[in-house]
Amino acid sequence: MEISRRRFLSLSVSAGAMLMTINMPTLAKTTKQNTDLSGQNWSVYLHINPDNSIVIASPVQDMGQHMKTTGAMMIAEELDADWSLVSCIAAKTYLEKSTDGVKYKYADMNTGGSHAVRRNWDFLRQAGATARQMLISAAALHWQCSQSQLTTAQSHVYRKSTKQKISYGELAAKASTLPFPDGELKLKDKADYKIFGQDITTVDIDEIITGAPLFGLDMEMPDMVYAVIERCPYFHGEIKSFDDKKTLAVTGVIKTVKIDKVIESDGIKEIAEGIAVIAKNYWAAVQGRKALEINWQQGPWANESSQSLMNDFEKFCLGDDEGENRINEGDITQAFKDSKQVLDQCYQVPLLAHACIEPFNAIVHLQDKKAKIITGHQFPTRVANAVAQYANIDPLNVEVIATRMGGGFGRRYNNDFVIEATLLAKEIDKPVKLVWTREDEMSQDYFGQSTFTRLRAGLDKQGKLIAWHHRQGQIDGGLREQCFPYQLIENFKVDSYYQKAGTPTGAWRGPGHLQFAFAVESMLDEVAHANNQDPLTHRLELLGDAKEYSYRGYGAKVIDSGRMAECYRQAAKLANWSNKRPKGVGLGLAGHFTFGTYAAFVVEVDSRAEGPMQITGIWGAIDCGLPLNPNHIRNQMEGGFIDGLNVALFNDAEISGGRVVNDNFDQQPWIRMFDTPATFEVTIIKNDHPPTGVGEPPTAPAPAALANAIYAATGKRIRKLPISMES
Amino acid sequence: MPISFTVNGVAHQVNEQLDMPLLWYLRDSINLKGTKFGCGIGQCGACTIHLNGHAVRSCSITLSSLDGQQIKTIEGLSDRVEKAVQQAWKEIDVPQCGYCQSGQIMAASALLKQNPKPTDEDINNVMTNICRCGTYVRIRKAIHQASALAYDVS
Repeated sequence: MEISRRRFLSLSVSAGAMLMTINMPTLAKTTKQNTDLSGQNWSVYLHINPDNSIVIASPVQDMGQHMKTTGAMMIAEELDADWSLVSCIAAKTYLEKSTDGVKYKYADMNTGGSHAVRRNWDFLRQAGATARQMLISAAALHWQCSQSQLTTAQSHVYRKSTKQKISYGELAAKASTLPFPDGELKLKDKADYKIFGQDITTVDIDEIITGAPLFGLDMEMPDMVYAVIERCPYFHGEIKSFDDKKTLAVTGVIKTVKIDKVIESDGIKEIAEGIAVIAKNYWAAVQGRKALEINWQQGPWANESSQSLMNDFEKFCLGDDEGENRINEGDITQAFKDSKQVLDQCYQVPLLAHACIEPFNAIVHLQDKKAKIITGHQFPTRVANAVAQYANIDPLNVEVIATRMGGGFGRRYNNDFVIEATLLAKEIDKPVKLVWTREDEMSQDYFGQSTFTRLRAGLDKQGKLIAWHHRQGQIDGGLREQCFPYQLIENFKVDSYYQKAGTPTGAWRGPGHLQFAFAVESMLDEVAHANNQDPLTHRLELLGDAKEYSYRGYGAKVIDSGRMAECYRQAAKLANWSNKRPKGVGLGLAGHFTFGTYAAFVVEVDSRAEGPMQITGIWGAIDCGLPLNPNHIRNQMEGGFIDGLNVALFNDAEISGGRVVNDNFDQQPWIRMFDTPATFEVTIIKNDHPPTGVGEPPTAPAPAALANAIYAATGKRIRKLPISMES
Repeated sequence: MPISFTVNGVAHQVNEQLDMPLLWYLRDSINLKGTKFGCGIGQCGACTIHLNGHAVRSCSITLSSLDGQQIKTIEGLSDRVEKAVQQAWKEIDVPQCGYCQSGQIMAASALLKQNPKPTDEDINNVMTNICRCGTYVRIRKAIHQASALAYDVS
């Protein structure tokens, strides 16, 4: 609280009256994108019109995680605004210098790691409360009365003694000229919330259902040209030779540009080598690309495949090499000697494609040492820094117009499409719109980690878990070993191994959590069955009494066994867990803690009919602290879990010969309507903990919940993804 | 030979780049950005439009095949069923990222014109568009709701 308070005060000084503006007659005609607002005297977040309507510029852009709506709600709640009078646009990207480039001047606009709610919670509420306080001050001047007589509600200030009221719209002109309030800002008590806790609709809903331009791919700049790039399909490969004569003969093609690969010092690809085709329109660029003749040099990873990587991980997990020891508590060796029963199993998750439904794109215009870029990206400061670096200009001279994104899932953290567009903009005196195809998106992905996990669980003669040894191999990224069952089992060891590889990997929706939860929640199910114990009862016994444990991983400081247990209980209750299903029908349970939020699910599988097994029901419970927008929490619970089911059933990026093999939806099947059961119920556990994110937490439990349900239905244990439903 | 067709009731004539898919003509030539590019091979359905009233994937039909045809895009939705679908999408608040939803809405409105009261199974069979965010639960609900809005006498 203290830190963000200081940040807000610095906003007050530097932003001045920019926090609130009045009278912007063109506003009604503007689109939801900030493109058309540039050059106007636009406030940072808030504009109150004389007719009492409010426009909020929401700082964090949406990629489906609903933060554009949630951010606006945080401001509106503390403003005490009438939500029905609020409309919402995208905020401009306000940057200032930092030690290594630029950082945000005001709110944190990044979205990833489910942090946008947590990091903006204090800041945006304080912005709203500040504006409210200034409106009260203006009303006190208007009525010549003391501020203590005044209250607010529904975009009005009320004077108790005379029963008068005046709208924010009537006060805004005066309020915007007043000094910022000093002293402590009073934020609302929970009981006074009018907007939080309501089912609020997506702020861009009218634009989405009418197909209005919202996404980066929908944007244009005057006189722009189009570009596509034929990239080397082999990881770290190069161009041996190329011939672009036929390309240059295609009507509409302007020029070709060779792009040199950039491999970072840690061996990760920044951009691939390739030939870009710049043309007057997209289709001409595509035709020019098809006409290119390129001989590729395969590069150093030509023997790498999904299977070779998995073999490397497995070799570590089954061997004696200690690897990188991450946790070693108690005496694991003695504990296994003391165990009456030891379960020893391995679990595999393949490389995960992102398949963002809007293929990457960026429009860059370079002029007079200044750049303007329109793109959908999860980290706008990274965009500014990358453009500045590759255009060799000051990052403060990069105007980043951050649009709504057609999916992100961590992939829009990477800068490859930003850098490529910047390099191309240097080659032509016009704005360049770079467009990726689906094949580009799938073959140049930074995949979610493939993992091979070996878990050994030791039980004493009462069936109590006394030893837990987790060994895992992967290319990069975290393990999430701070999550349960760590601190619940006395003797606990985690070893990890990183295999140097050419396959690019990166953030994939709750990075590492799904892989971890698949292994751990499957093994816990195996332990329960080995004990002849109900899997729910077993989980609750393991979690024990409600207790906050310290959490040293990313995204949380504590992990609470009571909150986790309650999610299991509520999901089970919703599923009628204790009602025995007929033979051939089974329930599977799995839960997980991701970045401060707890979620658990039950899946029902029916194996009785001929043909593939069917998923016949899904029931989930989530604890994300104070529920800000139940409508969107439920939506994330549904969509996030279905994304996890897609991993369970389909997602399997295949590498062979040092390149991606499956590069479109015909070769990489994806979950669809007919895979989604009709029964899907969600419950939100209400409490007063500070709100935490919901974009990632519903995903991780899905594969284990399904695998556990299949075991319950058929007795067949599945330890490798993707799962075939053919029985 | 120029190719003539209508888009949302407006006459269009083209005589170059006839191998170009309709998708790119809509998006880049006549600036109708509501029809989305998702896969380019007719798999995902983000580019779904109505061709003579039928849901069709516009990335997979070329301009040369469109002579005399009637095309409707998300920007042209106007009749009772189409408005009901949009209204239901809003009431259920279907979208997450929202990118695929114009294709979903085009597919759903074509479905409801042919089958005013689709069952879940009908929906499963017809609604093959990918929603990468996985909003299928809400899409299904919204189709039932749109059916009620469009056809139930209140």
